[in-house]
Amino acid sequence: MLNYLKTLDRRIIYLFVLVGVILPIVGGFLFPVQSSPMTDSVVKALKELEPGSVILVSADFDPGSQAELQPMLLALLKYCFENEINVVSMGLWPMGPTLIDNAMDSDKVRISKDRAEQLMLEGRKVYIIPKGEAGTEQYLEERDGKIVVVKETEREEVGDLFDDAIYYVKGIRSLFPEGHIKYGENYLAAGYQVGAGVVILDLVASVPGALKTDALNSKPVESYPIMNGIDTLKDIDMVFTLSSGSGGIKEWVIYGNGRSGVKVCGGVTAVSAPEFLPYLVSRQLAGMLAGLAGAAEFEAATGYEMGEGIRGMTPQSFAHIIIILFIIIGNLVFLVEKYSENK
Amino acid sequence: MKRQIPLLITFLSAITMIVFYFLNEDLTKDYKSGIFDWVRIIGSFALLIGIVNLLRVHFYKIRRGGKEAVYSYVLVLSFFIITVSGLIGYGKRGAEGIVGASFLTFDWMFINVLRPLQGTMFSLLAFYVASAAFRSFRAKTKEATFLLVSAFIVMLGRVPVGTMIWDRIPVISNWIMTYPTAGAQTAIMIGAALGAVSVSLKIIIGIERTYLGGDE
Repeated sequence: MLNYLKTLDRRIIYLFVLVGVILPIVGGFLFPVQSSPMTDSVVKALKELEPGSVILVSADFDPGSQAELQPMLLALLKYCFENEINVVSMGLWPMGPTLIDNAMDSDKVRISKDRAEQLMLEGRKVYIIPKGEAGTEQYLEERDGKIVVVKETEREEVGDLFDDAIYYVKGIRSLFPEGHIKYGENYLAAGYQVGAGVVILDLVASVPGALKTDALNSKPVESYPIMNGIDTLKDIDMVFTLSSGSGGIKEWVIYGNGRSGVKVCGGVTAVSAPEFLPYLVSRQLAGMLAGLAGAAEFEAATGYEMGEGIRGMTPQSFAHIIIILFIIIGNLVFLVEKYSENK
Repeated sequence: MKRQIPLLITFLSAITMIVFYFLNEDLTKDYKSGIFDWVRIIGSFALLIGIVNLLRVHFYKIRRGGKEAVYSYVLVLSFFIITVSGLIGYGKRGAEGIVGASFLTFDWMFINVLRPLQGTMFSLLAFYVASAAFRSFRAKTKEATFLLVSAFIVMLGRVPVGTMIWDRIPVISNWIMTYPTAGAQTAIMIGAALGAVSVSLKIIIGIERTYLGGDE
């Protein structure tokens, strides 16, 4: 037995982790999420922003870190547009701005049945995955007061919305009425900015000078109303970076906060969070969301109970417990072996 | 001259930036903006050089043939498909966002190919971490035992199940993160910063020349 455990095939460990992650996802049960001081500081900093404030959201990551950072981005954008905080987006990583575009327009944003009904009545396109029917895209339509599920070209009339189905819209924009997020007024996409630290120093000197044109129309950024009164980085109310490596949160703190004093908050991957703790303790960083747990805590604190972060906490809990159990088993084997040798 | 000119450029650029750092922002704003534009243009070219080099390496592998050439075919093909689709297809956008992202457009490939692939690659880490932790995370010494116990507490403190086991676990986990971890990390950062200053000085005054390439 001891020998078996000592030479345990790694595929058995992989299998345990796989089952531990899949079962809670299939089961669909959720654990209650409690906030941590790190997340509280982000929420506090955001709550200090008045309606009409401008936040610069910098997506400094790529799809490799999307499992942890994309839920933060979705929850952040949702919070901003709900609270009339205007968003200027950019990215220090080439794929970052496309991830923001996806969050705005195409990522699945899960909603409750009640919200689905409400959005449908407002004329928004609501998608549905009936229980046990993943695959072809289906959406809901309201025709003469009747709810119709549209699947490819087929239309099936249903009496009421199903209780056990999954409802979602595509992109944060779909959660709001037409015209709530006006491009150039409430939201501006500045796209990818090459140069990392240099871009931030450039922003410190002049925001329109650094961003130059927007990504959608290639027009000078200063021609949009959202940029009224914004000259240097100091005029931005907050920088929120979603960062997974170099060209990210560290540069925003050193050059952005250090040179202009702008308030910097960030979301980082769990593995890199300890590296930035000193900035949080010294208050150079106003708040930090760490990993999927940070995303879940932020979702819970901002009332987004259907977020990916909260749902991700159950498989993550199981994965952590499995890893801890394997470490304990490994150590028991080690101690028994050591005891036998000494004997 | 092949070495002297780059060394001189490095020295002058570094000294200029150091002096500008200590001068009033209004005095240097215009000059700085010009320098930053240079840096960003050079950065863009570095990206281009990276692409050219990547393609050169993979074209060579394709020419050489062999079992692994198939990966190079995939890379080159994917590169051209996504570049062309990006140039002609990216932009089906309006003020209200993406308008009709269809098959083979940049957005479709980004959402349905690149994002799942990269996400999958990163998620494999969980499996490797579990296996590596089982094999090597041993309480061999007193220090290793402290590390092990701290790791357990932080791992449990960062997930809701930790609170369910004992509601003090997240509190202890936060304490570990805020004090011992942040303290040790600060020390590491100060050490690294001093090292960076020393290496930078060596580069500025031309003692450290490995960035120029060659043997020197």
